[in-house]
Amino acid sequence: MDILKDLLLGFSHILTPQILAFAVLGCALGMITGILPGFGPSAATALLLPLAFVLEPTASIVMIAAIYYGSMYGGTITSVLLNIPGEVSSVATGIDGYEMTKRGEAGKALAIAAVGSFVGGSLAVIGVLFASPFATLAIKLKFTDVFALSLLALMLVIGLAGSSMIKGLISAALGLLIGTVGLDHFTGSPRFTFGTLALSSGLNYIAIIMGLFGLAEILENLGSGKVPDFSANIGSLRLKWQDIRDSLGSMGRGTVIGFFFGLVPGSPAAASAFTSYAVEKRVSKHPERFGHGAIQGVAGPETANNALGISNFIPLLTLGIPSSATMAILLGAFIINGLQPGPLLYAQHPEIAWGIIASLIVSNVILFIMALPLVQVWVSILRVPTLILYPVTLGVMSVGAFLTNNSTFDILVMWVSGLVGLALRKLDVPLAPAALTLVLGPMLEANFRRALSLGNDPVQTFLGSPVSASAFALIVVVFLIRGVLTTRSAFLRRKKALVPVAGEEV
Amino acid sequence: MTDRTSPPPDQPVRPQRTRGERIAAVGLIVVCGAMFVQALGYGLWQRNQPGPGLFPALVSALMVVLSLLWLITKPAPRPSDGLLGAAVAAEEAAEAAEASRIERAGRRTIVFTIVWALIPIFALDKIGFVLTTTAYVGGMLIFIARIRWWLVLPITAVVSVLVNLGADRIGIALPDPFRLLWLLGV
Repeated sequence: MDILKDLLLGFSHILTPQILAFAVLGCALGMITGILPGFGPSAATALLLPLAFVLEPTASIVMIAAIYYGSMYGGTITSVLLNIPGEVSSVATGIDGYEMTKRGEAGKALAIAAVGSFVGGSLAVIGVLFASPFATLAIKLKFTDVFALSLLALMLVIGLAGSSMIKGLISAALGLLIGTVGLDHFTGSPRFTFGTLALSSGLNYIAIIMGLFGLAEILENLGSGKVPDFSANIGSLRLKWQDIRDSLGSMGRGTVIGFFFGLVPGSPAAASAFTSYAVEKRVSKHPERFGHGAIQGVAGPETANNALGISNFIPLLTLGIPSSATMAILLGAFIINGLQPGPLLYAQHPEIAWGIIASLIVSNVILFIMALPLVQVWVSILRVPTLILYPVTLGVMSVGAFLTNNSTFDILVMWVSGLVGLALRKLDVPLAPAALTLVLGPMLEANFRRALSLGNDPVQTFLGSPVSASAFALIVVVFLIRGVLTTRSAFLRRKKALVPVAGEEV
Repeated sequence: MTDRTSPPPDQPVRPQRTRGERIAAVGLIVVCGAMFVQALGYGLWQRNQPGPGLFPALVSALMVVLSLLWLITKPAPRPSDGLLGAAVAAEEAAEAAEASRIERAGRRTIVFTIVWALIPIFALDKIGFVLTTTAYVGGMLIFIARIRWWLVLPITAVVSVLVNLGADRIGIALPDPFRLLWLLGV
C-alpha cells in the first residue's frame, strides 16, 4: 500500500506538461541518435548530458532516461531494416529481424520489436517497485560467479546461427582474441599493439560490429550481382493477433532474462539479448525457423533488451551503483543536480526517486505510442532503390565509425572487419558468437584474473560458490546435450543419405 | 577399372572441407600460433598474480586447437550428399557455375567499393566532412548506381552541408578544417 502511495507521489510530481514534453523530446532524440550507426545508448546519453546543466533535476533525469530507452529502440531500426546494428545489443534482434525484412515483413518486425520493448519495460518496472532485495543479491556475486555466468551465457550462444560447433567456437574465440588487443587493464602493458598508438586503446567494437554485419552484408550483395530490391517486397505493416500470441512466451522469458541480467553490475546488454535468443531457439518447437525470420527471434531479444534497460536502474536507485556505462552517465546527471542516488534518495527526495520510477512507466508508454506509427516512416526507407541506399548507408557508416572516437582509424577497422565478415560468411562461420565475445571478453578476462588472484586452489576458487558451481554444471550439461544432438543428427543424415529415391536402382 | 580410392557406389560420399575452409584454417593456425608465442612473451604469471599474457595465451592456444580440428575433421553430410541427392547436387553445380559468372562481375564492384573507401579513411579529418562525403557518396552513386554526375554531385554536396549543419546544432562536431560552414554563412 505504501508503494502505491509513493508511486502516486511520483506521478503527481512528473505528470506536468513540461516534464511530459521533455520525456517526449527525450524519446524522439534518443530514437534519432539510436538510428545513427555507432550511436548506442551510452553515446546518445553522453552527447545530450549537458542538458542536465540547464534543466531542473527531475526534468533532466527524466529526459536523459527517455533518451536512453529511445536510443535502445532506435538501434533496432537499422538492425532490422539494413542489418546494420548501431550497437551490439541489436545484433541478436537483427538475426531474424533482417530475415523478416528480406521476406517483406519489415513492418511486422519493427512493430513486434516495439511491442516487446513496451512489454519488457512495463513488466520490469514492476520489478523496480520491489527492487532492493534483488539489487543486494546481485551485488553479493563474486568474481568467479560473474565469470561462470558469463561463460554460461557464452555457451548458450555458441552455435546459434550455424550448424557447426567448431565454427561457432572459432567465431567465439576470435571475438575473445580481438578483445585482448590494447593496453592490459591490470598492468597497463600493451598487447598486440605493434607499437601503434591507435591500437593502445583497443579495437573499437562498434566499428567491428558495423563491419562484420552491415558492411559484410552490403559487400556480399554488391559482389553477388543480385542486389536485393526491398521496395518491391515491403508487405503488410500490421501485426496480426496470431503474431502477438506467438510472441507472448518469448516476451515473458525475455523479460525475466533481461531483468536479471540488468541487476548484475557490468553485464552487457548484448549478453541478455543473445541469451534470450538462444533460449527461444532451444524452447521453440520449430528451431529451424530461427535465422530465417522467426518472429520470436525478434520479440525475445528486444524484450530482454528493454527489461535490462529498466532493471539497470535498480542498482543505481537503491544502492547508488551504476551497472553500465549509460547508468554511470545518468549518475553524472544526478550528481550535476546535487543528488546522490542510493537509499538516502528515497528518504531525502522521495518525490524525485519515485518520480523517476513513475517516469519509467510514462516514457515507456510514450515510446510505444511514438514507435508504432513511426514504423511506416522507417519502413519507407526501404522504398529507396538499393543501389542508392547502399552508397548513402556506407557514407553514414563511415561517419558513424569516425565519430565513436573522432578517428579515421576506426573507419579502417570497420572496413577490415567488413572484409573478415565477408570471408566468414562465405565460409559459413556464424558471426553472432564473435559479436557477443567482443563485449563479454574483457569482462570475462577481468573476472577470471581477479578470481585467480584471490585463491590458491583453482578448483576451490571456481567451484566453491554455489552460483559458480551450478553455472559450470550447466555448462557441462549444455556441452553434453549439444554433443549428443550433433552425433544423433549426423547419424540420421548418414542413414537418410543411403535411402534410394523411389524408382531408382541402388 | 575401379579407382581404389573412391568409395563403393552405394556408400554416401562424405563431403570434404572446401579449399577456402582449408586455407582459412591454416591461416588461423599460423596467425594464432604467432599470437600465442607473443602472448607468452607478455608473461603468464607475475608476482603471484596472473600476468597480461595468460588470457591471450589461453585463447590463442584454444584457437590453434579449434583451427586444427576445423582442418582435419570432415563436415557432416548434407541431405544432398549420397545417392538421394544426385539430382540436387547436379542442380547445385549448375547454380554454382551461374553464381560464379555473376560473382566475377560483382568482384569488380567490390574492388571499387574497397578502393573508394580509402577516401574517408585518409581524407575525412584532412578535408572535412562535406568534401569527403560529396566525393565518397557521390562517387559511389555515379559508379554503382549509374546516376549522372551533374545530378549527383550538387545533391550530395547540399545534403552533406545540411547534415553537417544539423549535427552541429545538436552538438556533434564533424570535421571541418576549411571552416566551410562559416564560409557558406550558415
